[in-house]
Amino acid sequence: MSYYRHSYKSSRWLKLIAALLFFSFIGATEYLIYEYKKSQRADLERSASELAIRLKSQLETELNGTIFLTNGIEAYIVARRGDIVSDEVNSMLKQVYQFSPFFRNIGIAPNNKLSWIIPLEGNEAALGLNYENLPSQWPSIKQTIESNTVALDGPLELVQGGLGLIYRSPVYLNDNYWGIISAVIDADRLFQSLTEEIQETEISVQLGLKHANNTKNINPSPFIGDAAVFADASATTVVETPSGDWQLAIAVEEDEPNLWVARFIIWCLTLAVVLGIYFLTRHVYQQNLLNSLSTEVKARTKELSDVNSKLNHVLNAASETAIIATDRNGLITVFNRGAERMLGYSANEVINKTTPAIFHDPDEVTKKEKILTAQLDKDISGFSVFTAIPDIEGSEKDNWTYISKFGKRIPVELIVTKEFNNDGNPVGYLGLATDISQHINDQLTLNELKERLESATKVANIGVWELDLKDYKMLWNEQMYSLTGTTHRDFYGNYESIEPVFCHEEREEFNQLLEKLKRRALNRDPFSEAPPPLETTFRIIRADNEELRWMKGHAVIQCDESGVPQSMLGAMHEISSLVFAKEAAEQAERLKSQFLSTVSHELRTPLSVISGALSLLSLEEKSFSEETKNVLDLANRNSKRLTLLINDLLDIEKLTSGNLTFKFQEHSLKLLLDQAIAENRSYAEQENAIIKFDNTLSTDAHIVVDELRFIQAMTNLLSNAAKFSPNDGEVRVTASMTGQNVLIEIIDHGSGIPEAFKNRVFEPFAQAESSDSRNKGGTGLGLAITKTIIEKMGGTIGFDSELNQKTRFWFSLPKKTNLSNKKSVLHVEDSDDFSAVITAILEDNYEVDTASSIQQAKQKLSSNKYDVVIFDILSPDSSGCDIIEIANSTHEAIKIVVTSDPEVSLEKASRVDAIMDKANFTRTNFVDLIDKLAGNNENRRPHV
Amino acid sequence: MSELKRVLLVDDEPDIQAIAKLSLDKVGGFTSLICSSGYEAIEQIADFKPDLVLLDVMMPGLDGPHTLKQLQEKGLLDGTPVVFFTAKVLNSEVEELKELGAQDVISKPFDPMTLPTQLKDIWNRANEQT
Repeated sequence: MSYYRHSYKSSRWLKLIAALLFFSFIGATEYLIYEYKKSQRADLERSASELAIRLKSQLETELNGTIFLTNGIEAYIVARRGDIVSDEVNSMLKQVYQFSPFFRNIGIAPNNKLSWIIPLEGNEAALGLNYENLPSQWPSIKQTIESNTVALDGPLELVQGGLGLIYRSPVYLNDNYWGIISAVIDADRLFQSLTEEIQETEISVQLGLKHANNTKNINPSPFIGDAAVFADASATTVVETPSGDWQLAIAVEEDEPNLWVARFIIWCLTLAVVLGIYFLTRHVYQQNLLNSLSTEVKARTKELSDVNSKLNHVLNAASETAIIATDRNGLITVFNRGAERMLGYSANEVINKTTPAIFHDPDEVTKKEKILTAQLDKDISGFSVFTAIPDIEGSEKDNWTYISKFGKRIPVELIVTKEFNNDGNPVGYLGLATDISQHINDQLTLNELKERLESATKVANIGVWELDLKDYKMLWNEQMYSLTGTTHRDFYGNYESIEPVFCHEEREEFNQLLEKLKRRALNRDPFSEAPPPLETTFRIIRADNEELRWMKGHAVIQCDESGVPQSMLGAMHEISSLVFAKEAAEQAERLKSQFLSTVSHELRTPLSVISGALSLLSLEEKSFSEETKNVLDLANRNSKRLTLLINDLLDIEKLTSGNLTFKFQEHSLKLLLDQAIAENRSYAEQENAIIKFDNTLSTDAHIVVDELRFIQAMTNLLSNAAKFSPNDGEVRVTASMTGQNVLIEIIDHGSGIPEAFKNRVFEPFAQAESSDSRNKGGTGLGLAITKTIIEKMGGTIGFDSELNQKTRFWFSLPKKTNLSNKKSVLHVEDSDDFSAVITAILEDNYEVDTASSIQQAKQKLSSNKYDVVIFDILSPDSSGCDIIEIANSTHEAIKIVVTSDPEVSLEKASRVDAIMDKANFTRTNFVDLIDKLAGNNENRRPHV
Repeated sequence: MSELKRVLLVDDEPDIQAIAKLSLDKVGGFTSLICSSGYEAIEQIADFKPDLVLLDVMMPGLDGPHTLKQLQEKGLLDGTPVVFFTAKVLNSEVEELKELGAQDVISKPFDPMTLPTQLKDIWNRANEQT
């Protein structure tokens, strides 16, 4: 049916399109006619304009030509001083008259009396006429004479009949009026010539000619044509005459072309074409429609057959779902393979033989009957238990228990749907039953797990919550109440219920986070990747007793499949006791540090005074007795010991609290050991011991350490060794390589370390009981400090000792490996700032070593190898020239650069490779210079 | 000026003042002025015109760093080097003090016999830098 409807609709559309096409053609035709007329009119107007110009030109030529001829006569009279000869005049007038076809006559009137006239024939009566006796013409003639101007009168009716234009020219001889020349122009002939000109054109026009409005004393009515010509004029122009302008107008007499026949023919043709197109299209369309209808019917038939086949397959393939259809009375009409498997009945056993009552639990059916009877307020029994709701709502889903042929009870979820035929009448019911045994088992397991989890969270006091990000609805477990001190009355199942317990800062933070997530959830703004789990520590104020508590919270943001956040799931537990304990520990640590700092200051101040006072007494030493000196010495030693004790105490505190900073730099091991030994030599001598250094290292063994701390560690070990050495004992220091490390040993031959004390040697405040009567002094902190220092510098420390034989303390430190092929530079400079600048500039490309004094530079030059040495010739502590000597004697190819004022150092710098003027120092120049020197032996002494 | 002559010592401890004054006057041969507080130093510095200021760090009221700041802000130093005098010993603390604009830091307990030499060295270095 729809095809007919479709066809009917399409036909209507075709008619509409045909009508539109017809009217479009008609419209186009009318437009073309309109345009054609417009162009015709424009052509006519152009021709009229051209004609007007031609007529103007003709008129002006004729009038002015006539007048010029008359002027010739005037010239003759003037030339003859008025004394004119009759024969000559007659002859001349005759000639002039012949020149223009438009002259009617020409006359000469001395003293206004017409004495000569040509042609004489027909004008004899006028000869001898005095103008003054012509009342109709005299005022005009008189005005012409008095104004001494030429005048063209007319057109006017002549006495002789016809229209004429009278040209008058007064003649003056030496300002004395002599007479007047008058020429009558035949206006009829002149205007006739214009008409002839018009007739020569192809267009039909009307001519109008009249005095222009600006001309005085004239007749305003046209002398050719009428006022309508001027009103409808297509073209107007001005004709200039001796006594004023004339206005010439051309009105085109439009000949409206008769186009109605053409129109009619076009309309008929258009109608025929449109109708042709309409019928042709309709025919083709209907043909196509029939074809497609036929194809469609075939396709639909096949489709229906396929669907039917598939439906049968589905019915049979749905082996896990029982599909059972009944008629309106409950008689089974379909019983698929799934139903057979589930219930044990074959389709043949039940179809058209029984109702579903045979596999339903009668008790359940009775129970449902009661419920529905009460619910629907009418008697429901038997098969209508299954159909009452579908009859009202179309379908129903409910859980039932099926009982198989063999008595097995099977829990199912049954969906019953009401079925209709094509006419919309109910024909029966379709039931889809799914076995939900597994689902029920899963549910039981899940409930069991949930209970266990709840027990676990209860035992561990973990609060669990879930928050919907769109509406902030919240679920939480029992523990949340005990953690937050809230009750069931406080909790309304939303975020606002818990919000008040958060401390202000946390609340702001949480609210901001939730607002962001809520926006994303509402705007469906997805995360590009799964958001990471959140973890936070936060404070709450318990709702019941307003106590501050610390909580640890974890949460995950749950997103839908497209990544849009939906909810948050979280857990929290209390960590107050941990936080409070940590705070207490930190407070104790702060107090300890503060105490030590205070103690340090408070102890050092009086100690400064005591040791200072003792020191100052040495100024007066000469006046003291030996005994006094001894007492003073005792006091001095003990004040120094007290200083050491305080320093050690502070060191151990700083080391254990991590406040001791290390300034790591690369150093030559040999130089460091030399320095440490030199600093302790006098102490060893006091203790009657001798330090010997046994160096088996190559000169370029370098280590990266804090110089001061290294010396401190060495001092502790050396002073211990010296202290415990027998009189004149030897303390031997050795340095050697062990793989990538350097090994330093300090060996003495003292009493050794008792076995019982060996495991406490590096503990703070540990000192072995000694039978030796000598006071060994010391704080018992030295070795503990030494061990920490060595370990902080990446090393290890140890010892071995035999009582009364030998004690060996050793430590090893990683050797600096020079993997790069960088050339090395020594910069000798006492200004830390300038030294830092040079190091920063060069360190990318060079191994830069620095020395702050000439003395240190000498030591470094003698123990290390450098490619370039840079120094200031004005260094304060020694003559800089010493460096040149040493560098040249220890290094064959070393380059020497002096940074100074060139004028000052020129003389001294005779053996240097370059002088760099500090005043003109630039990074680029400097780097170029050093690169050149380090890489090239030539070009000595470039000056920057 | 080629030699350190006038030293202004600022320290609140009378005993330290006594020892330091002996050291500066007797051992070093300087002319010294002792101020017991930062405020006093700010008042006296213009009249005394020291070559170097030795400034204790921990003092009640206006401590060393604040005294230095005020001296700098009031334009009372005019290039005069300031050396802090402190019982604090941490490297980081020493660095912080230097960053405030001190020329150097001398730690307590100090040796009155070598203090003048230390100050002369510091003063010479400061002069070379300028």
